[in-house]
Amino acid sequence: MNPEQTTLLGKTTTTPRSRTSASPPRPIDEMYGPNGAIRDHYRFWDEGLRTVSASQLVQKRQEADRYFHRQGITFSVYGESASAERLIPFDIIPRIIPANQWQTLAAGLRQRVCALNAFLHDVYHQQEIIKSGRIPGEMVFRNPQYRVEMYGIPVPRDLYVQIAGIDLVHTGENEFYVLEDNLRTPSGVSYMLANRRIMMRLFPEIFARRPIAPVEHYPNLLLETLCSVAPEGVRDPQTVLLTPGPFNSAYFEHTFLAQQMGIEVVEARDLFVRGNAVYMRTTEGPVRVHVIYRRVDDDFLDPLVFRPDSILGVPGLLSVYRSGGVTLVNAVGTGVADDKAVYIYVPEMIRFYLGEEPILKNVPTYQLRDPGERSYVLAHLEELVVKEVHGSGGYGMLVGPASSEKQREAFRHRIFRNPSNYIAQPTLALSTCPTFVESGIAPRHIDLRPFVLNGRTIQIVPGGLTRVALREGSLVVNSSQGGGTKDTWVLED
Amino acid sequence: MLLRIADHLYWMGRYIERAENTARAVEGAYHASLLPKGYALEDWDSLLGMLGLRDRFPEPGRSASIQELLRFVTLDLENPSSILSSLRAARENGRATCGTISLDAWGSLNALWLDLSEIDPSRLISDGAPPLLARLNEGIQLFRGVIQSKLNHDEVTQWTGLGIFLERADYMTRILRARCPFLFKAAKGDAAYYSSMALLRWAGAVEAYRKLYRNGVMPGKVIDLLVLNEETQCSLHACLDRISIFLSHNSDGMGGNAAGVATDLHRLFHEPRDRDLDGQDLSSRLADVAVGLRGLAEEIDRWFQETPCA
Repeated sequence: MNPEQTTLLGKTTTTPRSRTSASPPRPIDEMYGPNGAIRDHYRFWDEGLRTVSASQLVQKRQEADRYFHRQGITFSVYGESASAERLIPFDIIPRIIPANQWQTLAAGLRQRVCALNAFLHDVYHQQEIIKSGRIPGEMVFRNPQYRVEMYGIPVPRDLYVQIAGIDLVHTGENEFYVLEDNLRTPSGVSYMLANRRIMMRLFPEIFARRPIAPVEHYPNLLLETLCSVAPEGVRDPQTVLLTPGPFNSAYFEHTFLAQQMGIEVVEARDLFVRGNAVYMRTTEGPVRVHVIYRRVDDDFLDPLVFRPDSILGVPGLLSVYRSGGVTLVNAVGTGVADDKAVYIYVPEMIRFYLGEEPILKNVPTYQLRDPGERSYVLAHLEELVVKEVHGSGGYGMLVGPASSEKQREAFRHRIFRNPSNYIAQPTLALSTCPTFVESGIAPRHIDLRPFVLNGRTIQIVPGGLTRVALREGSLVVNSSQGGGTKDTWVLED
Repeated sequence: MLLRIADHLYWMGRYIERAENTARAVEGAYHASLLPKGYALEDWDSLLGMLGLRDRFPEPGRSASIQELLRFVTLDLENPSSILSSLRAARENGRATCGTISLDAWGSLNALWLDLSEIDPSRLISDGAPPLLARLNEGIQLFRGVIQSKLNHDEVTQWTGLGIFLERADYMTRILRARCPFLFKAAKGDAAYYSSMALLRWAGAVEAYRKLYRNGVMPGKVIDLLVLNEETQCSLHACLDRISIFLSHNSDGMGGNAAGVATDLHRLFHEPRDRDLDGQDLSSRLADVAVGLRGLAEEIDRWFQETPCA
């Protein structure tokens, strides 16, 4: 870990190694400045809200809940019964981002996705970054997400990541960190779209007060992106969305996006391989498929190559993909660029491939495979957040300041057993945003997942999905862990 | 259209129709149970028999309260044929097709499911069955309307229709077999009127009857309407007609078997007759139809399962 990075925490003047206090720095609030005054970019919201009575507000919240419920905008939680469907709580107070702040973020996101894509192309071809010594080869080749089957395989436009969800946290007045990159099958964009739809229904008069960048064209851009990577020579590609099925936690999103794009949602059993092509079974016979927006993980895509027990995959799919008969989006093997151990090297990738300094910052990260960093982390567990290298969804994670001694002890044992499987980061002061809770309105921590589309060009719909940790003091925003969502408004002026 | 989606649409149609049919049967039995003895020819037991539920009702042989029975046939999710179970199955199939039937159609089906699944069964005691049945009826009509208005291609309507008409044919056969013996016995007087009206109510054909037959409610005419009439969608003949036409148009894809079975079935109603159907004749024809429908449903299922690759 580079000690200079610790100053990036903004509120910290000493390095984490010398910090003795377990209390995280004080977070900023999106709506209120340090002196308690409403920030400029939230004034129109506040003024608009003043025209709404308390009882109307209650009604609006109920209407939002009813809308989500009736549309079946639900998700399933792993570990709960197969039929359990839960509503992600939606909060009607938006997260608002001023135009200039968004411009910086968007530039940073573009830069990051560009570099990550270049990295993926490199590790599956020339491997220059490893030869140059910037990234240890073992980080790549021993990574279970590195798919040797992809080595030397060309992909359309050299693009591996067409859809990225980059998680950002706002920690200081002009300070954002990238918490993690999601380059496999990032989800949540349907909530961004649904949240906007309901907010426009509930607060039309506030939308009339200031120009808020629209987001509803996202499916159009997504389709454009998918079509842009069709196999060579295909002019009017048949594009489908491959879902694991109705019991997947993001099934609503799969059907919603497909419906918005006007493409079919297919399950593995709808597809088959014949010759060097993939077909779907239709009432009028087999129809050739050119682009598959797959929401199925690599491991389950093709039982002949990856997990043989997978019933979510299509036998022979990878062989057609490798020979260019069909395009998979995102590409196979992108997971090697988004795990939490490789994350540390993204700033280096930006310098190496683009010759630029990173616009967005990385959270300082301890690698527990390093004995020195490990002993520091084990001695400071109560201050740090420990994550599994390949974990996601808020599972397998210890938030030190909110943990009990028993939980920390359990984590110590897990770390001892397999140190390379963990990284640790300082507890960040995630910004807060006023949120409706049982007792009224209170600040709750939030993050932001913008969605970056990478086809002919890189396109980003302004904003993204704001996730909010509804429990007081909690920093875990994942929906599976009790998080909710908010609409994200990027101002156009 | 994806074959799997067609399969889901077919089953969604069947379950929607099943929920609606069960609701009509319950409504008919409920209405009859409010009439003085002697007028009401049906009892709840014959309703269970007609729905094929006699063995499934908890503790068969025990005389249950009407409320228990009502809950069993309407809201009991342990009973796979209850209205709520059928609606749940329709919703699950609808969910898999929501990209095809439109989000609005899916939303209206989901809303109906949510409304009905939130009903407290104790309200069946205080309010009786009508509010629940009215909500179901309204929800299903809305759902059908949204589907019709949203889609300008009729593939969805056709596959859903195959399920609807097959289910309706099955239901019509069941109620005709259950009720016709009573109808032929009570050929005249008040009993004939109430028996005929009960059957029309079960079939959801009261209004259709009144429009088509001007000389009052008579058992022979009721049989004519529900079995032979080709003009309304509520006769068994018309259902078989629709199924047969659809399958013959899709016979290439369907592999011919299903279409052949449907044509044979349909032919039963076009055979020349030298006299009106009597009780025995009808009963034996209905028995043939019941067997034929089972075979047809199996053929269709087989076709969906053995999806052709080339």
